[in-house]
Amino acid sequence: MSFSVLAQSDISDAANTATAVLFYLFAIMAGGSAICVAVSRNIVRTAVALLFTLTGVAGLYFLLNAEFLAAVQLVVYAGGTLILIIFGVMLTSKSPFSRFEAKLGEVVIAMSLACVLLFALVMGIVRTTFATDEFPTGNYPIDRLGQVLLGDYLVPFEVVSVLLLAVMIGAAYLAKGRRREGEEGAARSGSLSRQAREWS
Amino acid sequence: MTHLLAAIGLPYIPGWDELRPFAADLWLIVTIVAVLITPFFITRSNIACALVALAGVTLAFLSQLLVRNSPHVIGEHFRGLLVMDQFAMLWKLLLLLFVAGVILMWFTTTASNMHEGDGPEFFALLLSATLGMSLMASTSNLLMLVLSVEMASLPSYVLAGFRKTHRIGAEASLKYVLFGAVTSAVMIYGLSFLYGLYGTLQVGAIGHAMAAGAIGVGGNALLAVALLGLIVGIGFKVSAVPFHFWCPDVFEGASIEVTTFLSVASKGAALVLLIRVLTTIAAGLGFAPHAGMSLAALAGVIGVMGAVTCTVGNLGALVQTNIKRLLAYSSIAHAGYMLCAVSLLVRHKATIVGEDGNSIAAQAILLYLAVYLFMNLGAFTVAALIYRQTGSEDITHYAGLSRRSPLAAACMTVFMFSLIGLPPFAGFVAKFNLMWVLGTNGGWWWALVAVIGLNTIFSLYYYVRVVKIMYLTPSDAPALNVNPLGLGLAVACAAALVLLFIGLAPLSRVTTNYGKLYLTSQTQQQPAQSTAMITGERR
Amino acid sequence: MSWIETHIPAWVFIAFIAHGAILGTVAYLILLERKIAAWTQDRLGPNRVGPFGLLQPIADGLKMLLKEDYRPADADPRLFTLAPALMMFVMILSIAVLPWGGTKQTTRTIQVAGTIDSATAVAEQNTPFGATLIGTPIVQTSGEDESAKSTITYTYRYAFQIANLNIGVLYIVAILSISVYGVVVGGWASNNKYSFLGGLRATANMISYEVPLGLSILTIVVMYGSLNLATIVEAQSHYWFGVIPAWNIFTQPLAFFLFLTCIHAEANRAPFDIAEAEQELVGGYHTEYSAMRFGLFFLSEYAGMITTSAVCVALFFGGWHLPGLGGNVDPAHPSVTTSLVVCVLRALVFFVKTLIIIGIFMWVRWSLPRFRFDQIMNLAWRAMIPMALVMLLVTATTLYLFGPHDEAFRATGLITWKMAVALLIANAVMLVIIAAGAALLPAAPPTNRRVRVLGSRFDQAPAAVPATA
Repeated sequence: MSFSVLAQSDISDAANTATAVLFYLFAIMAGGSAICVAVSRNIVRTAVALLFTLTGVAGLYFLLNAEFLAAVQLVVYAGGTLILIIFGVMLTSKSPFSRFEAKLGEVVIAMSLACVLLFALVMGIVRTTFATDEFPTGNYPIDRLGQVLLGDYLVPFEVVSVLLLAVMIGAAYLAKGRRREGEEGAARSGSLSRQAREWS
Repeated sequence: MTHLLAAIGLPYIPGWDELRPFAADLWLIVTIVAVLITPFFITRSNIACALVALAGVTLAFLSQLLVRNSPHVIGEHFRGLLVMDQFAMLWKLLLLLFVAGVILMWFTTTASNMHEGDGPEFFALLLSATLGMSLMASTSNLLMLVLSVEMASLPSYVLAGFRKTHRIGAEASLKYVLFGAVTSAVMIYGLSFLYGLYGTLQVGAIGHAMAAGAIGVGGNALLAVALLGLIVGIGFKVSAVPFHFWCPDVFEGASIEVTTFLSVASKGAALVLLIRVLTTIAAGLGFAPHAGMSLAALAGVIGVMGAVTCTVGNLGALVQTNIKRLLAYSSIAHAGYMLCAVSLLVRHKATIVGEDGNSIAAQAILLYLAVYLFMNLGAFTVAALIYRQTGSEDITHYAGLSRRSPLAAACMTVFMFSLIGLPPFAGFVAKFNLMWVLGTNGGWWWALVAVIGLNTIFSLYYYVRVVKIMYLTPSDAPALNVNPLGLGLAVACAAALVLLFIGLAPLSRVTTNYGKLYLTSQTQQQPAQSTAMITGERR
Repeated sequence: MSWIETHIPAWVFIAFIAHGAILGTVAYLILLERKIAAWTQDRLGPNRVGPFGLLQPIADGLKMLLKEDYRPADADPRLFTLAPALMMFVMILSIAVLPWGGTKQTTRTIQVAGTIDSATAVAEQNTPFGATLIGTPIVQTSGEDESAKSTITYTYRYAFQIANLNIGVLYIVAILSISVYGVVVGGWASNNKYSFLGGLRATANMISYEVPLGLSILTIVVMYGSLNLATIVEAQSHYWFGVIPAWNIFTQPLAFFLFLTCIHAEANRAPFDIAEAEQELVGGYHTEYSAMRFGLFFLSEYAGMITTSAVCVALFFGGWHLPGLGGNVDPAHPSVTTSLVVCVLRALVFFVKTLIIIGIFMWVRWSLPRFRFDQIMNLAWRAMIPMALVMLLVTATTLYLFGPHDEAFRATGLITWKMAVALLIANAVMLVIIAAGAALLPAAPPTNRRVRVLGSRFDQAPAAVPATA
């Protein structure tokens, strides 16, 4: 029986090709649906397109071996935040809302600003070497991540918790329904006609 | 497999030495929780919550007073995420004093008609915004910068729309939140480029990295986008000119103590943050006009922004008849004056930051804020007192106030003259100092001095008009029975303005002593590289 | 053979087989469901197509494929099509991290011409993608310079699952949180009030129950300090007193019940089926769906059940571990086996355990009446989330207090019998705390807002009521 020895780069080539294909797949998914978000006129479709943008970005995180970040991106943004946005959009989109009609001058100003910004960003991003770490070969150890989060970044962690508390209080306050004045008082005083009006 | 026991035992627990400088912030957090659980024990919860909040703020103030300038205190804390120095200390003291004043003001205005049970939410939000503003003074890290700005902003959005049945309030809140969300998104986007370019979140390290290496044409474009983002985000909080549209509407729509709070605390915190971030970066660059990046251009942008802001604010105020809108435009103008001082980033003639980190811009702004705090608190208190009695915020209803409530009219006169910057009130000292500081640096900063001078003349018109209506317009309206607590607060503010003018020397000594920024260039301390910790010990 | 072994990783085969098996099972689960329903209601169930109705699923599938694919006039065409596809896609994705059969160890020998500098490098080149080399390869060289031949013997291991992710549990939670979209988008795109309401209800239901689901998973995660499902299963494959398997059901029974309840809610099945409550909403979010689009919704519900039940088995019932089924060769790593047969047997054990959990699903569905919406929300937010939080706290405290004193636990990280007893006692204490605490808490606000009909027999009021408000 004879065994052949594989070429040095055979397996890693296949892996690299797969990674490249997946990269372009996720990049097109993220970028393409981001364009959909901006272009689509139907606001629910916009929100659904945003789902694919977020998922595509999560896929890119997976390719960077940042699995934890990818999963958190899916749980927090795709599964948590966006679903609330969709909730809000769906409950309001059927109501007649005024379409935003921009004046010609505004359009010109906005477009030229956007073009300048796009030019600056594209030139900048293409020509810059970013201060990056070396590409990680393995997975990020999650326990180290936890230790850094509760060690070096303890203060932001705690500040975020206070911030979330404050925001939750604020949201609960705004969502708290306007109390129905005298709901109990009316029942006690026996003003039945008023009750009937409220309940009917 | 990772054994659990290896992970048990926290890797880093901040010691007492690190917590102590931030005792005031910790007290604020404790107070937020205390305010929230107060209604479980006390039935008349609104008043009780206010008292708890007041007590907490007082405790925070006292604990901040006890923090000394010892070497343990001054410097970076929590692995370089927060920084404590004299500058931050004084701002925290001013902020806490001001918030105590706002809570006192609440007793005289909204206390009686706030819905029973809404108190805990109101004070929890007020205090968490205060916490954010307090942290804004101490940020030396981009992550903390974003968090503290959000911490100050998000509760403010709710506070602006706290009167849910109030239509204008709801509109104002919505406007505020939309503007705020967009600008903070732009800011975070910009800051992400800063991180990408320099690979660190520490502001000091970013300054050094800027000085160290050229980042090429593309890098400069990204740097411009990044700094633009920063200016947009903070400019919104300061209500600097292209981002000032929310200010009059929110000030008009919010209840008056919230307006007062936002007018001084929110803008002051943003200015303090701007000073800290830009001075730290400039220190890394050695305050030289052309090193690594064009600091001079940045200074120019901020200077022009300041000049335009104060001009627009004053011109806008000329036509206002609603006292809250008038004071809103006035606060835009004052923010513009202070922004002019922030532009002192490049050394032209004067030494703008001394060997010990003593920044003349920081001194000028602290002095200005210290005085502005009393002026605005007082002016809004008088406006609130009159609103409680007459139900109107229109300045035409101030007619005959000198007869109807002489003390309130006298106090208002003091505040108006002080806001103009006339002697013998502290407003004069603050404004003169600001112009002096700008003038000593020479160069095009003289143009800023001229703009401020011109604007003072504009502002004369609308401030004096209020005084004129109070004293010279006849009215047969009945005498006002103003709330004694509120009147006391107004009188105290007015007295403070007079006393600060007389006792100018101590005040300027305080701000001179406290205008010191902790700059990393002095110690060359390198920040904790946490990302390296993750990637370094990879398995 | 060797080319296949080195070029096509084992997970490709496992992926094909696992997906094929699961999709095939899904069809028969529907039959099982109908049979169980019939048994519960004292009927016969489907028995016409084939012996005992065994061909019924095929007939159903044909019917779905051949039915008219109807779409309402004003439905959003793209989203209407997207929703069921998204739902099925997500369910298929979530199968990826299930640890079917532990770890397969293979020893291979290859011959290379000439002498070799680094045997490890050669061995690594010949190791399949995704497998890890174990130990140092053994080299035997024969012959002289020109005709030298080296024989390398090396050992590698690969996980007998599709993807051995470090964050397996988190991946499952992430994917399940995406599955909400199928329901809510489908409900909205149908342009039907009933569908929309169903979608909204399902979303609220699934979001709420994700929280206790995650917390009860965390309870297990803190015990082992790992999010890897394979690691968690391996840590359960030893015995206390030599006989009792160290499954988590014995240490964390409360967490198991919370988890089981949550996966019922996530699956939107009775008693949590407010999303498709027939009596109120016709069919909920899939009212307007027909033919294969409906079929995808229907199948994905069962595929979701399989996934969540399999996770439940992995977390609480030792996954592939079965007392008596040997094959492990490495005492330090009980999951390692050299025999492919053992791997397949383990996968079968895993699958049978999963089917038993699915049996509980069906049993519950046909036994309990449907909850009301407010009852569901109260159960999640006022009962299960606090309970799960207390449980997490108690588990962490127990580990913190007893862990450092337990030599075996410190050495291996495995739960010893002492620790198990401590956790069980902690569970009991927790129950007492919860029972005592629940009595002290303020009562829930009355939520039964029945519209009062004045003058009815429930509300004897004067008849003089203004007709209009």
